[in-house]
Amino acid sequence: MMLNNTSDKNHPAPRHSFGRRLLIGSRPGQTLARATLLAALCFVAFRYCWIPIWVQGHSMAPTFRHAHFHFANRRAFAHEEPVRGNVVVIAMAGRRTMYLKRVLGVPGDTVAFRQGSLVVNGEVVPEPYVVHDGNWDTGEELLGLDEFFVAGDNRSEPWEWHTMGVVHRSRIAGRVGQ
Amino acid sequence: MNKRVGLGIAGLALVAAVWFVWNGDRDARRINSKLDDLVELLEKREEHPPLRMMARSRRVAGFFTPDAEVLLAPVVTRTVGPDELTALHHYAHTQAARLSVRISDRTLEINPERDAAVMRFTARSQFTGHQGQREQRVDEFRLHWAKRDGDWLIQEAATIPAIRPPRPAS
Repeated sequence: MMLNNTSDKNHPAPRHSFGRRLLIGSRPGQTLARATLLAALCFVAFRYCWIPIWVQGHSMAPTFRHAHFHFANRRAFAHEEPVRGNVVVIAMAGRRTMYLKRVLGVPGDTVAFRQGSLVVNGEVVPEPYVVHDGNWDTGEELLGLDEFFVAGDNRSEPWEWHTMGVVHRSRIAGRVGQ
Repeated sequence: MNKRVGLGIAGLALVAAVWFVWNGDRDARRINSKLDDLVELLEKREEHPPLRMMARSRRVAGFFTPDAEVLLAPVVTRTVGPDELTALHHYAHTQAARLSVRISDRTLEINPERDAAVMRFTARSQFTGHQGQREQRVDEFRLHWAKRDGDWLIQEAATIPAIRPPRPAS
C-alpha cells in the first residue's frame, strides 16, 4: 500500500484565525505537549516546592500587607529547623488556609512579653520588624521539644485578640522570604 | 469443580468489594452532605422573619445526637449541648446582619464498622453586625459522627487550636 505525500504547494496548510493561533498555536500537538509539561511542572512545584499565599488580614503588617501575594518555600525546613526571626506558614486542617507568623522562640526557650517587649530566656530581644508596637504582657512559656513560639509583627491590638503562642513543629509547613 | 468453586468465591469477593465501596461512598456522601446542610443553616445571607429564624435555629439541634458535646473555644469556653447550641445560633443570627461560613481542607475517616466517623476541616467565618462591624475567624474543627438509626449525627464537635495562646501575665 502506498501513501501519497501531497506537496505543500498543492495543498497549503489551512490558515487559522488569529484567535485560534493565539489560543492553541498553529501546531496543536506541540501546544498540547507544552501545556501538559507546564501542568506537570506546576503540579510538582506547588506540591513539593512552593506554597502560593494570598495574605488576608493585618497581623503581619507592615512586613506582609493585606491582599498581597507571596510564596512559601516548602523545602526550607527539610534539612534544618526554624530559627528565631523566620516567617513561617502554619497549617491548620490542611494547606488551603494557613497562618503566617514569625518565629520568636525555639525549643528550650522561655518566651514572654513584658510591656510590649519580647523577652527570650530572660533577655529583651530587639525586634526591628515591629513598627506597630503595643503593650503586650504575657506569662512565660517554656517551649518543649518540637515547640515554637510564634506571633505576628503587628502588635497594635491586644494580645488576646491576636492569634499567637505555641505551635508544634509538625504544623510548620514552610518559610516565607521577605 | 475446584475451578467453579474458585470462580464462585472470586465472584462473591467482587460483589462484597463493590458493596463495600458503594456503601463507603454512600456514607461519606451522606456525611458531607449533612455538613453542607448544617453550614447552610449556620449562614445568614438575608433577614428572616422571627418565626422562620427560630425554626432555622431549632433545626440545628437535629444535626446532633441528644447527648452531643460541642466546644466552640474560644468563642464559647464551656461545652454545650444541642439545646444550648440552638439558643446560641438564634442569638448569633439576631446579632448578625450577615454571617458567612466557608469550609476547606475537609478530611473524613469512617471506622471499619461504619457506624462512626471523624471529620476535620478548617472553617473561615465572617460576621457582619447590623452597624457594619466585621469580625473574621479561622478555626480548625474536629467532628465525631455517629450513625444512629441509619442517620449520621454529630456526637462531638470541637475547635482545635493550631496555635496555643500563652498564659496571661501573673
